[in-house]
Amino acid sequence: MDDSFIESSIGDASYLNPVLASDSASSSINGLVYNGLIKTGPNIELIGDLAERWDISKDGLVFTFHLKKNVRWHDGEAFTSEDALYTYERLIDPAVKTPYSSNFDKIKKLEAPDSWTVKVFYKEPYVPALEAWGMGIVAKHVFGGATGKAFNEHPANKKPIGTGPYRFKEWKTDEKIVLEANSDYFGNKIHIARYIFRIIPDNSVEFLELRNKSIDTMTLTPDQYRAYDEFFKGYKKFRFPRAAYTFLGFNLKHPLFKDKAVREALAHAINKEQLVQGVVAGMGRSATGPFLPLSWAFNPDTKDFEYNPELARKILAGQGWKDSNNDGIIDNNGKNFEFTLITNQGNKMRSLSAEIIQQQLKLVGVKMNIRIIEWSSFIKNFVDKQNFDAIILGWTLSPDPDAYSIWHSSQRNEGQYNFISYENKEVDQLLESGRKEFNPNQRKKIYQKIHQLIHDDVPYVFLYYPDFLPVLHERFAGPVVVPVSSFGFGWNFDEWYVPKNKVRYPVLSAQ
Amino acid sequence: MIRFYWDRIRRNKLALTGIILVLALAVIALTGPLVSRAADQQNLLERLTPPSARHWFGTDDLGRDIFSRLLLGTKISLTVGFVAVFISCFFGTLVGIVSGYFGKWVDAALMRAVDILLCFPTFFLILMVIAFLEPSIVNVMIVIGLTSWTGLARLVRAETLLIREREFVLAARSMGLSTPRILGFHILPNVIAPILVTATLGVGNAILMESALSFLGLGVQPPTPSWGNMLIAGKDYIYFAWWLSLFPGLAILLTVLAFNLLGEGMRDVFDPRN
Amino acid sequence: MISYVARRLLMMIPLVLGITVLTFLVMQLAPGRPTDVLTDLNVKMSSEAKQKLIQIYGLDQPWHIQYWHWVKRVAKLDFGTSFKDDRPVIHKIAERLPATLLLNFLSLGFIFIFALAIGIYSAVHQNSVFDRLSTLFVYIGFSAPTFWIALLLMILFGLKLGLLPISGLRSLNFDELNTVQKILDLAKHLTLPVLVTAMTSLASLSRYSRSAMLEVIRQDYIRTARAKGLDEQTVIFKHAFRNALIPIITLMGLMLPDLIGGGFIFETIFAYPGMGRLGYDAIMARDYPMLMGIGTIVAFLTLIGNLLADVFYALADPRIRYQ
Repeated sequence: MDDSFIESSIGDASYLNPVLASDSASSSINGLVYNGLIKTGPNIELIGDLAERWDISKDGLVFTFHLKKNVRWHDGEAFTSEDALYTYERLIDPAVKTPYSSNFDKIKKLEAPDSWTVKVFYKEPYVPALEAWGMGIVAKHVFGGATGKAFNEHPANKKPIGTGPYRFKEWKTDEKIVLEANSDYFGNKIHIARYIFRIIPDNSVEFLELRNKSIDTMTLTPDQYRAYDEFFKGYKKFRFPRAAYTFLGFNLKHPLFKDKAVREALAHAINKEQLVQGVVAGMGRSATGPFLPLSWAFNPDTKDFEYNPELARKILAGQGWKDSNNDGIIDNNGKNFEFTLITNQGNKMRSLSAEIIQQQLKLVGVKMNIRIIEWSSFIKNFVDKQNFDAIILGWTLSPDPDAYSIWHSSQRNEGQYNFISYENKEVDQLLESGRKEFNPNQRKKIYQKIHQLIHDDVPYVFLYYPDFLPVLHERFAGPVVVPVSSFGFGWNFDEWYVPKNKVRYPVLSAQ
Repeated sequence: MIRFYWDRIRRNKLALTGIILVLALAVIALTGPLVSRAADQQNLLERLTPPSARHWFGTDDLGRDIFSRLLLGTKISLTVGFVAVFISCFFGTLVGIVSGYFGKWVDAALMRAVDILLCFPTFFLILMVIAFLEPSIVNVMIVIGLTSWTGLARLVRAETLLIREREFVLAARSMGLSTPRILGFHILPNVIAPILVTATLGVGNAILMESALSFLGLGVQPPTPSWGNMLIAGKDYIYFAWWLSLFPGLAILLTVLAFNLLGEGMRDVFDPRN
Repeated sequence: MISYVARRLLMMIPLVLGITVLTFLVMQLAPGRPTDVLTDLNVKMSSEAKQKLIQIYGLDQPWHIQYWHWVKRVAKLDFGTSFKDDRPVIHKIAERLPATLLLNFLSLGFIFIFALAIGIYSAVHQNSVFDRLSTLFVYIGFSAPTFWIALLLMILFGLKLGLLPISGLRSLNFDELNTVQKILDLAKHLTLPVLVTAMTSLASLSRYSRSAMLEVIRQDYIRTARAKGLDEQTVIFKHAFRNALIPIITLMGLMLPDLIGGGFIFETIFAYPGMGRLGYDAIMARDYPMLMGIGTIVAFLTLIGNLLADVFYALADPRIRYQ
């Protein structure tokens, strides 16, 4: 007899198959049903999951994973290296709809010398490669070896069979997904007998449900977190940094922003403390560069631009931008300093940031218009085509700091992620060597240098690192907060339990 | 004639209440922007403060005065309502008159098109167009207008069918008056009553529609305040900062109510059977 | 009558085709592709990988070819598979339809009964206090933004009074309940959604039935009936009632498309697993096969609904005969 854990999500899952899924709802379920070869441990280090241990050859080109031998799929079949091989083949299968193929395209080949060993041969040394093996491994026998389209459309994507701590029980679309504890799990014994994933598409309704104690956890908005102290009887509140940052990016091809001095002036004109107050109600901290404060790649010595509108005005005046016609907007050769900032619809923090920055820039005589655009057309028509003056967006980062695709000058083509057209030869070179350097100390130096260099170039005004603000029903014991992990505090969910006298939803059927 | 209708309106309490409310709104919409300079003034130290003597309706999530924003929003929301209705009446009347007057294949083709539109969930259509065009106040008005004319078209067509057989139309035709002239000067004045009623009811509907679009993030975009987007911004705070949603909600309710009462009253007034 | 119905059914084919062409054209206006949502600014996704997805979806072909392929498949009743999760479109719709129909039948029933009752009573007692109050009340219901009223009702009945569940279609332990408990559970969950959906349509319908009644009451044959000394009850229910039904039936037919496919907002608020949310998600994800499927099914159901309305119309109004 044990308890249930009820979580809620804004959206429904898509594929309960880690190879195909890219949305967060599917990922939360897949994370409980499937295992990767490795996973991220409590100290943001990589530890074995399906792999007992692994070796990396001296030249960094061959990874050898030694798999655990006592692992069984939920249907009783044994897990072997064949499954890892099959998963890899699907990841590079051109007809499989996986968004992850580029994580694996530096692999020359995969070999399985025996049932419990997987050898991966790389074309070139690539440090972030190890992290990619956190990808959930699917069972070859379940899919009957299906390839291509048949794999995409396989019924197992709806009724997953994995190796993880939870087995799939049922899925009522747009209503709920139910999982049950796997009594044969190869890890520790699972205590929470049932995991229920409810779909509640509206955040304010979700909050009412929490108030009604009908869900056990929820990620709060900063205002909900703050305004509600007396209402959270029965819930524990958590607060720790989220592995993400929000930025204002300048299109460096735009004539206004080609000039570094102008970008610096705008950085001085933006009051980040006020943003942190206004947007995340003080629950976050102002950002200095592309890496997170908790990451080893973060450079603690980077000094941010101080908020100083006077200085901003002075710098701009030095570049010829003065309010010569007294209309409140600075101008140069008869042209006003005016530009349009875009951000995506559906993200309140970003639109609030835009509104606050609009007011702050007005103080130094800069006119900023705001356009909020629906996600799909935002990406297709504006971001991909680099068709904007300035943009507010955010990046969520994984533990490995490799940021090649965001900052390298080779990534400036249509549809790539260096959409602001940033180019710095030194940064390019550092990004390349950072991918090949296996020595942690050397890598740290490389990335801290990148942090400083990018900060100094002001391609983005790095705005803030928001906090992650979950609440959890008090009956659950065992959560350990791991800062930085993007999956929040549920990383050790398989160790949680509910003390006998506090059980709320007893599960009567014997397991 | 006007005196005749005015007497009837005076005796119709529904219409009278509606007229008074609508006139009050018009005054607010015209004078509101003058007294509400404060609408854009952010004060991040005074976020979410409850109603007080300083801020009659409290402040919102950027510390802006809700009362000022509501006044400014009156103009925006009414503009959306009127422009959308103008567009829908224009198309509804045009299609209705043309269809009814010419009959035959013109009528058949236009009415099949109307049938198709009527089978389509209006809101689904609006959503698709807006999502694909990008939301802005202009697009919101155009789309609401373009998707709500079908009912009026049918109504006008039916009236036109009756009128075109009347003697004065037949006479005008035999005198060789041009078709646009007949449509504009002989038919239109006689179908104006249902158009006015539909238009009045339509304003309320368009305002509601804008708030529904705002719910999906597709309405008038911030920082421009419309009642719809203010109500939505307040939705997330409904349980612990009720003033953010209550006042815009009430504003919408009262306005839509006013236009409906007026429209309903006008229907009675124009009804020759009363 | 039978030949009339058959003819109407045949006429539906071009209408349904027209609707699908319209849907398809609107989709072509769309900037953005399903691959944008799937890739979701994934840093690890290269543009070659994106290109690969576009080819898998067949999005590199011109629109009329895409439409032709679609029509050919639909002729075989194959609506294709959803871009979002590769499940057959028809299965996904079939999953939602019962919940949507359940809610709509309940709301339509509710609207029907209350609109008629209010309309008739108001007409018979014209200008009474009840007439005035009910008019005001139905108008307030109509004038309030749905989601706002829904949230307020949730707070009142769900949190403050604790009488009703806040959202969802059924409790989490629904499968463990017996039949009576199941029905009760559903009833509790459905109360607020039905109330809120019905509220928005009650105004126009009750007003229409009121004026239809008023018109009938003034007719000669009613006066004759009264003059003959028939008692008021018989006059109202035998003669006038049927006439009040007619506008309601027509209007309900017109309401169908919005009820079936237009429930995005209250479905979102009530976390109700219906067609509206399916459609909304499909729009936002640019899930073309899903959108086309929903458009077609909703149009088809609406046409069937209109046909039924016309049949009822004929039954209610003996003056109408079909050749």
